[in-house]
Amino acid sequence: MVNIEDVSVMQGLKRRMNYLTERQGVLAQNVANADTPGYKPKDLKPVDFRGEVERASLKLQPAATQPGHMKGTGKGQRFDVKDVADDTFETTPSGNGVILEEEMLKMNKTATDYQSTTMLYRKLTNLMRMAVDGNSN
Amino acid sequence: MPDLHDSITISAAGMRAQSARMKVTAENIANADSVAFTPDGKPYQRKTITFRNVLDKETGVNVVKVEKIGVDPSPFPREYDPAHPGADAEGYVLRPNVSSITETMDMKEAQRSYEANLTSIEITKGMINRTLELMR
Repeated sequence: MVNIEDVSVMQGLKRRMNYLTERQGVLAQNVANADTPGYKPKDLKPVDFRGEVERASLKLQPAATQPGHMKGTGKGQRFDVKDVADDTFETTPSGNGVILEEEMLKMNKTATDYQSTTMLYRKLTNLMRMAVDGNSN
Repeated sequence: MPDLHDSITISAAGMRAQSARMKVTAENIANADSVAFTPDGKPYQRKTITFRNVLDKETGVNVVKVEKIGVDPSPFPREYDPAHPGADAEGYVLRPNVSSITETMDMKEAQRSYEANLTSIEITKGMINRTLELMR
């Protein structure tokens, strides 16, 4: 039985896809700057999506406004960017702190998360299509 | 609105930068023995390359670019070879300030970074394909 609250789940999925897309950009930038002197790797702050979806379906308040905003980036980010400086313990003499293996691991995780999110999204749209069509094709 | 294509732009810029780095390293290796052939001439001087992260106005993303290709100011090692046409009055020849081991390691690192950027593009491409599959 598909009810209107499930639509907020799709909003949550869409937000998660945006988050993962932006994270992929940040990680790609870390990898591209693996040899730029003085560059410190960045990552996005983890977002509690489950909490957001639960809040939205309880209809307590409208969707939260975008947190944080980094000056100086061309396209204006919608999620908080944090410096990974505290977690990094390997810095080269030129001040570069990028560890390629860690960035690749994070990137793979991002890609598989994205895959599961899109699969969930497709399942949901199939459910809706079934409800609208009436026959399961 | 974040875009997966921006990630490809970023990784492609990284690959270009690493290619430039490999070119400089190859030049250094090729000229590791280019000594001066006159007593007052200079031998080959090692080239260096530095990167910088800049905002590309066209696409609105931060991409890595080659800042500049400079020369290594470290002194030239001297080799005793009085028969050489480039030997000075004391019989010493100036050799290039290139260490083949350093250059080889640099080349390996550039190759590793290049492949990491290539893998980033593959992963981003996979994500784009997943998105397109939603339309099926």
